[in-house]
Amino acid sequence: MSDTSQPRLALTDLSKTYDGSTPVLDGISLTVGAGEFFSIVGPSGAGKTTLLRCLTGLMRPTDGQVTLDGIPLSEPSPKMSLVFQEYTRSLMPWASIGKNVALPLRARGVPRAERTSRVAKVLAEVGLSGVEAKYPWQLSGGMQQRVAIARALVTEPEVLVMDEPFASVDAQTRMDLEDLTRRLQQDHRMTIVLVTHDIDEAVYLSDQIAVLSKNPARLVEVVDVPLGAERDQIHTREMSTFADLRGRILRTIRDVQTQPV
Amino acid sequence: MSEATSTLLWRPTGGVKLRQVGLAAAGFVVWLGLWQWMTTTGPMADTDGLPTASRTLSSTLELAGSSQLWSSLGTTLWLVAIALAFAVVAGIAAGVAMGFSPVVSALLDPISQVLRPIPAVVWLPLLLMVLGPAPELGIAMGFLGGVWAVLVQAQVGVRDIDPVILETSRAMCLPRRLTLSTIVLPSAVPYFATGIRISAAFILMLVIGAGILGGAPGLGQLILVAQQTGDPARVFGLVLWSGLLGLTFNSILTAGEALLRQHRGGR
Amino acid sequence: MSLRSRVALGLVVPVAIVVSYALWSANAASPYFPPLDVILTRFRELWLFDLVSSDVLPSLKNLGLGLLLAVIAGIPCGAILGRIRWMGEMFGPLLDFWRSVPPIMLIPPLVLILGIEDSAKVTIIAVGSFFPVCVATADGMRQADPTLVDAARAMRLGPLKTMVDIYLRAGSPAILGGIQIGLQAAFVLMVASEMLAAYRGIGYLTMQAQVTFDSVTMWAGTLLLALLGFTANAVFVAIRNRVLSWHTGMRVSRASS
Ligand SMILES: Nc1ncnc2c1ncn2[C@@H]1O[C@H](COP(=O)(O)OP(=O)(O)OP(=O)(O)O)[C@@H](O)[C@H]1O
Ligand SMILES: [Mg+2]
Repeated sequence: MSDTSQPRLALTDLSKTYDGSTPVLDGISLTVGAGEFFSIVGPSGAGKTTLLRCLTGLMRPTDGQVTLDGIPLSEPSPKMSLVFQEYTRSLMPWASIGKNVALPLRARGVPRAERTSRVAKVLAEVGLSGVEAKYPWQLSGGMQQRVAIARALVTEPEVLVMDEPFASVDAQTRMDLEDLTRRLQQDHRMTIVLVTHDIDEAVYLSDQIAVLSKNPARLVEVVDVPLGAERDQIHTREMSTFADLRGRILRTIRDVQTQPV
Repeated sequence: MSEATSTLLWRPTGGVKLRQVGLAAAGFVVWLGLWQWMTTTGPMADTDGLPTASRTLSSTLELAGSSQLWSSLGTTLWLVAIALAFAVVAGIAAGVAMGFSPVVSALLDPISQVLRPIPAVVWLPLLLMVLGPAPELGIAMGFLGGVWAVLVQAQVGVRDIDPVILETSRAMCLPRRLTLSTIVLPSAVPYFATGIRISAAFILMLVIGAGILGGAPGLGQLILVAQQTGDPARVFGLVLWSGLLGLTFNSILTAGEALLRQHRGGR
Repeated sequence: MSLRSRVALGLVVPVAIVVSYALWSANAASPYFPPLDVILTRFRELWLFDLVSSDVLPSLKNLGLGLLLAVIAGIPCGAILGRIRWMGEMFGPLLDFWRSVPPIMLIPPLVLILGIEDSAKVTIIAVGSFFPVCVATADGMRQADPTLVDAARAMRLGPLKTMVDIYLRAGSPAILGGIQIGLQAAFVLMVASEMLAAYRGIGYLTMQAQVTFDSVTMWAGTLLLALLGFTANAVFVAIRNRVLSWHTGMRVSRASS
């Protein structure tokens, strides 16, 4: 969208091969502009999580480079937060929700009083006021996911990276969380990178969508989503642009999969 | 009493590799080297009662050629085997009965929960008074220390049986005897194996302890005599032998248990 | 089964034991098995509270101090062995070897080096309970969920905070299990080292009574030791259950869902 400044996040020629196996990622290059909602879609097992681990600095790519605001990234950056695919397992079962959400603040040495108030604020933002004293395993899956999102937001990151965050919640919760994410992105002017294998979800939420192939994952195309800033679960999904984009991406993925390698 | 009593830290994954064997050997060399240095030029050079590493090693090797060591080891293992047999029979009988019947459980559970956490050394003076420094002392101590692990595992094993299977057997109107012998006991076998492994480790410890504290025959008695005759190198050599014995013993039991579980496709 | 009938049944065996012992010791008059009231009288004379400060408290102090030292040394050592791969591969087997030495076997050599003073007893207890704590901690390092470890890295939690807040907490069920075994070893070593070489302590007094055929004192000592062994474990279990309430809660909620 905004090509004026340098991209917030840029991947150049990213490749990854795990020890002694075939390549998982093969020469992936993309750029994500500041304030953009960027989705990455691809079939299950394509290497989406691998890509995210590389672009957050959790794992070194075999080849290629990731830059955040023009600076090469080799380890996790304080400007970035991450919501994991296995969000349940990313929370500490021995700590209360309050302590879980406060952990990244403790990592930064934020004083206790400020921690408490920021945790309360961010929990209110995700619609979970007053659960600070509860433990993760006392909450439903959807609520745990909100906690994981709150923990990612509490540091006010510039870039929020999410790995299939809504894959294992029921349909209604899923819609709520989608709208919550979209609203938070607008409110905080955040850049969001979202991985999903649900094309509808990607179209509904994103400004741009990157489509990956499988075995190894290559970038097939990047699709612009001109659906405007305001999205609505009913109206947006009824728009013809929505249906067109959805069909186009599904077709692309099908073509890639049926092609002989 | 926990599982961790006899599992090993060293669990090479995907087969033992040269690197791991080398590093493990290096660990022992570092330890012996440090010991040798400490006792020759280092800060513990003139410590009474602490032999050098080389003296200890040569005494350990010497012991390998002494019939005394082997007959003591044999006696210890023999006592362990007898105590284990008693512990297994009594432990499984009581544990299965407690797991299977609420009445037996109510009858025996309280007393078992009171006696179980009491370390068996406590009973040593009492047993020594009754039995004297005899082989029976080692057997009795071993039994008292080892019976609980089998009992608890048997109890848990019977209680953990899939309720669906039990319902099925009820639906088929199997008599209780048959349910016990065809369903309950077979499915609890892996638990018995775990109980036996943990129990055996305790029993070995206590049979040796009965030798040191009460003069019951075996390895413990041998070290007691070496200490009383003031032969530090022999004392340390015997300690190394007991470690070797314990390690071998635990490895065999752990492997046996794993084999059994694998064979039965259990957990 | 109702609670009342459970309690009633639970009392059957203890009552039967006490009654049959009382009847038997009254009739047989065996020197080994003095009547119950005689034992209890001696128990009161000795332990309430004449010898408490001279023979009971010092032993318990040795126990506590030794175990504390073992925990202070064992947890960092275990953490290093569990987290640094080559260290674990190098010293894991050595540790396995030393842990396989029956704790009581450590008494003769350590008495030869250190003597029979209280400081020697503390060392014996510390050495014997160090191994289970260390091994359990090393094992506990494997319990941290990789996703959680990644999350900690992503939020740039420092290495020390990650160790304390993630690895040690995730491993705490295993570590506390190790400390419990350590406590058992410590108790055994406290009693055994007093039985073998000491000039005071409950273990010493009980063993002396056995040697001098003072069966009443021996019974009174055995009773106290059993009581202490039981209590030590019960106190530990209570503390552990408090510390691990999250763990039980989590397991219950997972099992029911
Ligand atoms: N640590 C690893 N070591 C070796 N291979 C791995 C590792 N992690 C992932 N892989 C392999 O890389 C490929 C891509 O895995 P990845 O988890 O990135 O896929 P994904 O697109 O996130 O899948 P999903 O949609 O199921 O989350 C898979 O074939 C997987 O087996
Ligand atoms: Mg994935």
